[in-house]
Parts: sequence; structure tokens; C-alpha cells
Amino acid sequence: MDKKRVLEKVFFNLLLPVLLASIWQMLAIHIDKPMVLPRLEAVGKVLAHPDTKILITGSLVENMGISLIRVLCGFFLAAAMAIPLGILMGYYRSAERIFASSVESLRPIPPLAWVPLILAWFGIKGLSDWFPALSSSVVFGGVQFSMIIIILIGVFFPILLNTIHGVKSIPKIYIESARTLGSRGFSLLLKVIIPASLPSIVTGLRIGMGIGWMCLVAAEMMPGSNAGLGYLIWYAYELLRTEIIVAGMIVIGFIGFIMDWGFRHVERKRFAWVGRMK
Amino acid sequence: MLKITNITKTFNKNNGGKFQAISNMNLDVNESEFVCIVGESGCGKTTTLKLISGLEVPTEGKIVLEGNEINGPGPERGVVFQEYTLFPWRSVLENVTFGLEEKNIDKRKRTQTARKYLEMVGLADYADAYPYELSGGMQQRVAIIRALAVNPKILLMDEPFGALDTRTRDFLQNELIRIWATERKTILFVTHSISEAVFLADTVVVMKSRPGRIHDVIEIDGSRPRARTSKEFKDYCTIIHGMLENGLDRVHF
Repeated sequence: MDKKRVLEKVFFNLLLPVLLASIWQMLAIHIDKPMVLPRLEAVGKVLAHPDTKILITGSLVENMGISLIRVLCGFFLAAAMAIPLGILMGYYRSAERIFASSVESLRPIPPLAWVPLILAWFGIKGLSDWFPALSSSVVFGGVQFSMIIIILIGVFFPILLNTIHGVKSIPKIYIESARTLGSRGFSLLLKVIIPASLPSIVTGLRIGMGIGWMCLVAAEMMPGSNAGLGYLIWYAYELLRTEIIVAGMIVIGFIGFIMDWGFRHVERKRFAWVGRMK
Repeated sequence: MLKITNITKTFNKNNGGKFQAISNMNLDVNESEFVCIVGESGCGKTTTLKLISGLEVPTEGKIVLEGNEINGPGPERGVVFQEYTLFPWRSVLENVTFGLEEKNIDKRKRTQTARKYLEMVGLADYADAYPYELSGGMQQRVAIIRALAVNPKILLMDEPFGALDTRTRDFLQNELIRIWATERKTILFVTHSISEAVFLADTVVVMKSRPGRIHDVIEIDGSRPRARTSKEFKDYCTIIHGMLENGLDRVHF
């Protein structure tokens, strides 16, 4: 890409955000009530000092770290369960018969509807109850089982459904030609079924990550929470510090954007063949 | 080397009825023979190939390859399909080595064998390319050598050039004859093109439908490469065409 095209691209990408920010700033000055609409420079000030302690919670970076580690724990646990189950359900009709009705009736329940029950089961127990050494760690000390499970529930279904879909939509002819080349059993799974359904699995991971992130922030606003970006936003609301609320929201959006970009990058690089087979 | 004895294949239809795809079929194929099966759609020619490959199981009868009764797919029977079946997530070279990996042949040896075959079909420069970067004709050449690389006893081909344009098709027919001449493999080739069958085969098996069965077996004389324009070539085509026409008369459209 030449320089002109790059500048053009940057210009169009920034056009709308800059416009919206300007309108915001004008409104904020006009209304002049920071409790209703904070000015940009107030939000900027929070974002510019991510390592200073905010209110009685930790710093922005610490809260970010806590939220991130919670999401990743739930995400990897969900993936570790949903991918094998999805492959099983996609490949074996009998496995699908056994699990499908349960999956279909649990799936419509919003992850947040599980919060009260899960709090009742796990309370605020966390990793530091198992590993006391972690309790001094700001980031790992905040990993509570209830949060992880809420995220796990949110992430699980999109990964499961996309894995099933991926395995089911493998052209039968790939499996047949692999079998005529002497492939079967575990080797067939590893060399044909998984790679053929991987694009769909990665799409599931990408959607799951987005949902997990949303569930987390909401879960952190629930009773029993004492850290994380969701908690920070909620706590700031109680003190009517809207500039902190907005700063927290921007950070959430930014992290979500970066993670989604990462997945799309993988899809572009690794699965160039998708949709291009004749 | 391949002996098909009294095979019958019946499929269950969705409406509960039965459909007899092949009825009481017998066929012997000799070592290094090039056999083509021709017939209209629905005559059971593809089913025959699926039965030999082991992807389908006969309802009755048995198929024996060099004394071993066929029971499921196996690498000693290489298959080339009409559809493009190269694995899109593997490079051309990795596609050709696939069957060798399954045979647990070490990496150096596999690559060596794959390169040799890629050389043979003139695709050595495309070893690291991915299937979607290849034309249809190139993909089918890779599919052929992928099947050959595991050194099968017999090569089963199900209209492998059916989706290609005429020029590419003629070119690949010549290629196939050249490969067959060097490898001396037994080949069973299914096609609906009479001229393709006459050009390629030692023996043409003419099949008819309702139920699918062998109508006649014709030996094709004449050295290779065969001239597609010679009188002899056209005579063979006319004879086979006549046989298939008779069959069509009884079909009510």
C-alpha cells in the first residue's frame, strides 16, 4: 500500500470516532454536569494514569488484569470441554442423540441467570483458597470460582455449536479419501476431522471470547464481587464518578476489540483456503 | 488379480422401498490390465467402484483382491474421485505424503517418494503450493499421484476427469496412459464417455441399468497411444454406442 492509501484508510477509520467525540465534548461543556456527562479530558486523565489507585479499588491496570485472567480461565476451561464434546457430537450420531436435548434446553438460559445459584454454591471462594500463596497476588487473588463458572457457561455454547457445525459440514469425500489412503481411528481424527473443522472451531472461540468478556463484566457487577473492570464501573456509579465509568467502558471495548482482531488475524493467516476450494 | 463374484447391492430408499443398484455381477480383472466401465447414469458403475474400494459393502457376493476378501477401505486400493478431494489445509507435497504417513514411513523417505511423483506429473514446482492455488486439472494430477504414492495394487478411478474441459481431459488421458505404462498398475476406470473408455482401456465393460448389470465386455486391440481419429477407434465407439442406445430404448422418459 502506498502512503496516500494508508493516510486515506486512517482518515476514514478515525472520521466517525473523532466526530462523535467532538459532539460529546460539546454536549459535556454545554450541560456542565460531570455527574451526568464527564468531559473528555476528565476521562483522558483516568486513562492516562492506568497505574494509580482508583477510589478504594486497585488501579486501572490491576482491575484489567483481574478481569482478563478471569476471562482467560473460563475461556480455556470452556474450550477444553466444548471442543472434544463438539467433535464427539458432530461425528457420532449416538453422542448427538444423548447430549442434544440437554444442550438445547440449557443453552437458552442466560449465563447471568445462573449467578444466584452459583454464588450459593461457591460463594466467594477462589484460587487463593486452594493455593494460599496466591492470595497476596493482586491478579490471581481475584480469581473466584463463581466468576469463572459464569464465564464458562457463556463461552461454552458458542464453541460447542460451532465445533458440531464444523465437524458436520466436513465434506464426506475428504473422510472417504482419507480412509482409502489407510487413515482411520485417532489418526483420521487428528489429521482430517480436526483440521477440516478448525476454521469453524476458531469462529466459535472468537464468538465465545466476545460473549465471555460480556458475561464477566456483568458478573463483576453482581453481589460478592470486589474487583475487576465491571466492579470498578459499578463502584464508580455509586460515587457518581462518571469519568471513571466511561474510562472503564473504553478499556473494556478496547480489550474486546484487540482480542477479536487477534482471532480474525489467525483466521486470515491460517485458513486462507476456506471458501476458495473449487 | 481382482475377482468379483455374484455381487448384488441393494439400497434402502427413504420411502421404505428398495433399489437394486447392482444385480448379480461377475468380473475378473488381470494384473496390469486397464479396465474401463462405461454406462449411463444409474447403471451402478460408481457403486461397483465403491464396493471394490470398501467404502460400501455388497449385499451379496464377494470381492477378492489377490486372495484376500475385501473388508473396508485400505491403501492397497487407491481411489481417485471425480470431486476434488485434496485436503485444502495441506500443501501439495503434504497431500501426496498423507498415505505414506499413515504407513509410518519416515519423513525423509516420504518426501523423496512424493517429490518423485510430483516430478513425474510435472508439478515439482508446486510442492509447497496449496490446492486452492491449483487448476482443476492440476488438482486431479495430484490426486492421482497421492493414490499412487502408497503403492496400491489397483487404482480405482471414478470419472476423475469428468469435471474438466475437453482439452485438459485429453491431456490427462495421455498422462494417465504414460503413468500406467511406467507403473504397470492395474486400473479400473469408471466413465460415461465412450471415447474416453476406448482411448484408455484394454477392456471395456459396458453396464446397463435397472437393475445395474454387465451387458457386455469388449477387448480393445491396438497399440497406444491410440489415434482418436482413426477408423478403428471410431468403430469401437460406434459398437459401444449401439449397445448403450439399445438400453436407452427401454427407458421411458
